[in-house]
Amino acid sequence: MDRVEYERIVCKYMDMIYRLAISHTKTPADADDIVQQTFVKLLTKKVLFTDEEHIKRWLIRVCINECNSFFSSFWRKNVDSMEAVTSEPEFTMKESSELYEAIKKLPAKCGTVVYLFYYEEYSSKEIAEILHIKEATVRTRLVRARNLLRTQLKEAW
Amino acid sequence: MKEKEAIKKVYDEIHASDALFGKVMELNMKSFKAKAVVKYVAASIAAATLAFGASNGICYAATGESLVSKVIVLINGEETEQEMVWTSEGDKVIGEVTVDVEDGDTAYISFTEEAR
Repeated sequence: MDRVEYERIVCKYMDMIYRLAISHTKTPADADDIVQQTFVKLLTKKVLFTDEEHIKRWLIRVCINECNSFFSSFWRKNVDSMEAVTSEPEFTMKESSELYEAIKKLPAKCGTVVYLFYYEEYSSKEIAEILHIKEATVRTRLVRARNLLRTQLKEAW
Repeated sequence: MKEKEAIKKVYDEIHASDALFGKVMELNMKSFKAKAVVKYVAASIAAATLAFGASNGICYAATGESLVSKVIVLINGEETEQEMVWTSEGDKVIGEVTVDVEDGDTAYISFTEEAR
């Protein structure tokens, strides 16, 4: 992959990968690591992308794989995270801050689906294709996430 | 949809930091240039360490050299055989292989043989 193309992809998808990573890992330190590992894979894997959507879905898939590997690694289980380069986000509205804290408490798999469904606006069918899971599983996770968020946020939802 | 808008608002305010952005932009194949040195640090399992220590001692006595094994290194998809030199540092066993690669090359190390 040439340098210009790499930088273009980083500029375009950096925030998406970071948001996806933090939806899964819950901490900025871990999300930072995941983001870097994802883009290392972009540099080192020789993938022929067919179009822009292919790039996006490939990055999402790699990010999720890195999150799953991260959680199951010996290193992760036995070593404390160092201080994150990225700090916790600061929100302009109190409601957003409360919702963020509620989203952080969701199980990792639910957090991922919530991000892809509500923010990236993928359908449950598309999410199922990206994550290699059944569409019914996606819907179940969304329902579960909504119920958990309602329980935590009560009045707002 | 109220919940959708609320969630979008949250994620709109989450961004990777400039520092992280800079780190990712700095990643390049030069990280693998000139010398790719892979250090494989084995956990200090007592029996394996003793066996290694004993055999290494024998190697040193017999040949005056450290224990050496062969590894396969893939450079741009092509296999090359390289030597991995094993040394012991206290209770750790360290294997080191050095390859020279050009800018833009990709090197992968795989371990394929037992130490001899």
